[in-house]
Amino acid sequence: MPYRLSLYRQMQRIRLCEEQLARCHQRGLIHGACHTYVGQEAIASGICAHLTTADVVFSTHRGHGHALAKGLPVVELIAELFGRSTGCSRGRGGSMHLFAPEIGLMGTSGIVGPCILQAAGAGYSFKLLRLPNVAVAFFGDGAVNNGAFHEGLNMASIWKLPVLFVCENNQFATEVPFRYAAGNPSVASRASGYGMPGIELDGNDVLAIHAAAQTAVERARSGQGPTLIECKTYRTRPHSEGMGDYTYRTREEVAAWRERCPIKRLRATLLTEDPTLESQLNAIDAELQAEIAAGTEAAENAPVPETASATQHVYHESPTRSDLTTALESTLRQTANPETRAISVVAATVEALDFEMARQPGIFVLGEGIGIRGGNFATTSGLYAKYGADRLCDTPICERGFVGLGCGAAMTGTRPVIDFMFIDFINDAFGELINQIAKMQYMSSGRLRMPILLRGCIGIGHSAATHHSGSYHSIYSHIPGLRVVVPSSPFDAKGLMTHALRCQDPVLFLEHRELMSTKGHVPVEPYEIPFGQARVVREGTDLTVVAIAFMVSKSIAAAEELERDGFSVEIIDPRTVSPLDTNTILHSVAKTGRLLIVDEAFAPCSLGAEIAAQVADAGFDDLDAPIRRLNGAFAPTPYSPSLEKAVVPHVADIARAMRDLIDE
Amino acid sequence: MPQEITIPRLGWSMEEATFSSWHKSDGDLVAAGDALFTLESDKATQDIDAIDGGVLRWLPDSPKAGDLVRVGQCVGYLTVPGESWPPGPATAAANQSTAVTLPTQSIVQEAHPNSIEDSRDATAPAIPAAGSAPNSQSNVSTPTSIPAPRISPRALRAANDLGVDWRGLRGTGRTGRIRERDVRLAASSSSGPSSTLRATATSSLRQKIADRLVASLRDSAPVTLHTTVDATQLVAWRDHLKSNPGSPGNPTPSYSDLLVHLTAKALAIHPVLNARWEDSGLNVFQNIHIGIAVDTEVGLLVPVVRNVPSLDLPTLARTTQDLIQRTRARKLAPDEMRGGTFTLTNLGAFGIDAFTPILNAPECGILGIGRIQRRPAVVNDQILPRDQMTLSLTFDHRALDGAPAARFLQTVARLIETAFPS
Repeated sequence: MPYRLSLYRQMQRIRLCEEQLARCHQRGLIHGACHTYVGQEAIASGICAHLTTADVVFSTHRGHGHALAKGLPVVELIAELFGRSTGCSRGRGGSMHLFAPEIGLMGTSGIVGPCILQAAGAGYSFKLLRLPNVAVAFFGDGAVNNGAFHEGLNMASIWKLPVLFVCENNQFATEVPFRYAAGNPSVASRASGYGMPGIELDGNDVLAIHAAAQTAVERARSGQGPTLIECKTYRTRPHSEGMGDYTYRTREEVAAWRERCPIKRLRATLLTEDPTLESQLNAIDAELQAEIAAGTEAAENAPVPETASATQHVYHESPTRSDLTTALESTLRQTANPETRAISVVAATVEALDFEMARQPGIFVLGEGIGIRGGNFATTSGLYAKYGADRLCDTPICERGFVGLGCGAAMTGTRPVIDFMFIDFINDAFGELINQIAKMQYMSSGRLRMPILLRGCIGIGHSAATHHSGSYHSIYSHIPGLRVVVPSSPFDAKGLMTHALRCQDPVLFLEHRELMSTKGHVPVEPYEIPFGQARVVREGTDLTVVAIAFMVSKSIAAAEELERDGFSVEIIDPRTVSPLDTNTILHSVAKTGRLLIVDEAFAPCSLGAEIAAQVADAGFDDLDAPIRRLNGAFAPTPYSPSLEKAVVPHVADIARAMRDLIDE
Repeated sequence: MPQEITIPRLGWSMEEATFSSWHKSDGDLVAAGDALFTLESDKATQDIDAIDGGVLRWLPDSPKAGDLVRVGQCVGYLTVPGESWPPGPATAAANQSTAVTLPTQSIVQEAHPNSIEDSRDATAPAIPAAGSAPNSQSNVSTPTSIPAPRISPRALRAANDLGVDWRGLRGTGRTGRIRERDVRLAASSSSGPSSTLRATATSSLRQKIADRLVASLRDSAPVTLHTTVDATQLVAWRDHLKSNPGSPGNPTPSYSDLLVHLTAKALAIHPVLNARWEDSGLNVFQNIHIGIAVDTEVGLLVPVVRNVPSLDLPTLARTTQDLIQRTRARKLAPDEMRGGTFTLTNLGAFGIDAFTPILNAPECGILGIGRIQRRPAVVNDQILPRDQMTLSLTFDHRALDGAPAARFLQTVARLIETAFPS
């Protein structure tokens, strides 16, 4: 079929499907929001005509058209909106979260902006893996005044990533007019600010879009970098089905844009050139009507997802340990005294990272000063020389941007390691972490993996003050989909880092700065420490202390003090906060009857609170005293040494808390 | 609904009374008509009977012996067996606001180290309400206070596993909470599962005795003097009394009675030994009230014989016999173990010659009596069989020095040696 008929067919499929969905929304078959693409069909159709299934699309809340244009069967879209198990997201997503990674539909999103960063990340994967694929970000005019636009376009430009940034300027961000919200009303002109081509198109002219996209895609595939395409268009249905439409725009304006319908326009063009096409076009319409009717019926008859599956795919399931892992571990087991030397926590993690980078060509490190410099804390020392700039990639200071980019990269076959120096900086990327990275495996019903490692220093000390001293592991542990690792020794750091670099889930690897140069014996051979296995650091019978990070060594010192008075303290290091090994803690409390949790982080809603709740529940009858917590002060970290000293637990404080609890 | 137990008005005009003792413990099943507690008003002492049956529940500030209580004050609850306890905060708060502590309570308690006047304390430790300061003397609960748990979950499980009735245990946790170790200690001191209840009671009283003896040793300067006396005349006197019984129904005075009688005489001569070292300092008393150490199933108890010099021998014998019987039956009123000025302790029956009695603080003297044994003695350069006994006087060196104490002991010895001149 000539490409123009294909474009007609694609646009009409989208239009008829959207109109059907609007009807179904009125019938109550659609449970949540329904954002239709009516009026904008030319853009998805014109761009996606150039894409293969290996190319990837990242889309917005108004993504039905992108999904269909990328090849999603009508029935899977309708079934998803009906909340059926045969929907493209298996009923987990609905209108705003459509996933079909098999065909390169990497997700539509309810958050404005991240798709730009994720497309850049996919572009990074393709560049690193030397694949000829391109990534496309579709976004509205609302996204271009968002930081993700700036950060994403800039990174794509400096690294010449194979990405198309397609702005569908439909003139309203929900109901806020673009003419009001933009200082520079030309989106395309902004491209020059990032050093890339910017093209402004009539978004209702599918042939123009098709032509421009061809150039942009070729440019991307040939390694010349990204292009920004602005398509000026208009949605002729409300922001979301069921919403009022005439508070922020007029009926007349909408009616005028309906007349500029891209489908009508192409049809007219085709018939002007060749009136005999009418029957063919009508046949296409009829065929699509039948397809959509059949799709609707099939979707209505499809089963709803089993409720038991509601918590499936939060994490990657049935993790398989590689043969290499097994072999290495058995080597360690068979060697009674494996060769070790005393190295620092940092050196132990570099060793693990180096070994895994050699094995896995998809691992790359992102961060500020992690390239030639080797990292602020020497976390990538010596690796740049071995693996080069693409795999040790210095970033602009745009945490949100490169975390979002990392997300897109992890979705498309590479394993980013993001090195924050200080984990406080990740807070600028909180949305990318919580809304995207943590949820991606679940939203894609387990079809995407999220092998990304985010590392940085935690902890108070040396007057780093409040923006370089945070410990936020409790916050991350609250979020389903994340793994949270907090090592306290070089041995653990190497084994946990190795596991993190083989794990398919996003991992926060949080190293206490005051432990970075702590030395300990570490085997030369690689080995893994699985997550969720606490370590009994010290055995005892009178009191169980759960301590994390730097508090482990402090608690050991306090326990030795108490031992001189005849008290026997057991110390447990959970090593990973999520998953948390409550069994080891419960087992210990069953022995001692007393539990103290020592954590430098804030107390409210903390790791300690969680452990206390779980032990109070499952270990109630084992308790001979109340559960106690010892935390850092509930205050930002101050600078002056005298103030800093006052907000963190010291050995004497821990010893006192231990004695108090033993007396209780 | 838990049923309130309140202080009734005795007589016409009673507004308040002294709470003497509980007859039931927290958690006991009470039948209608059972005596619940004893009240002492100005005019009368009266047992208060339960009108309804149920399980007795004390409040955290239920009155103890010696507490002043007001008419209408809620002192506890009767619950239906199986009913949840404690009640919600509102109920608890509404009924806990009126307890008043007798100002002299602490002195009264200190004065009776070996008594069981505090029956509540003997069976269930008092726990400050959650949130109150550990040493708070206030019995006035704040509206938000909820009775704190008195036993840890782990200790409760251990108690169930070991068959220990924890309600009688004294908790060693900082706030008085019963901990696992308390339960295990009680279990190990029990002879077996069948005697659990008795063993528990024993162990709590034992703890109280232990605390008070240790306190006595810690807070006094005890010195013990020994002397051996010729008791031939004492034996002759007793034999005479045995063979010449007085009016029917009067018991023959025991050696202890005779020695109480003679000790009182000696105390009248040496009042410095008839004294108590109290918070206010050394108080020397005119009235002579002598405590007698009585060995009971549950431990050592010390009933007090009042105004000994005013009692003739038959009366004294009747009095001590009654006191001892009731002590062993644990039917002694708390007051009957209070207010002693000197104590006598007799281990002669067990073949003991000399020992070192511990002061019954705050008293300043305690006389230990050894066995009477016929031994060879040198009399007028001849070796003759004579009844002899050893006396052991412990005195508080803070209150007096060795010489006056020795002089008192000499007087006692002389009175014994000349008790019944032939």
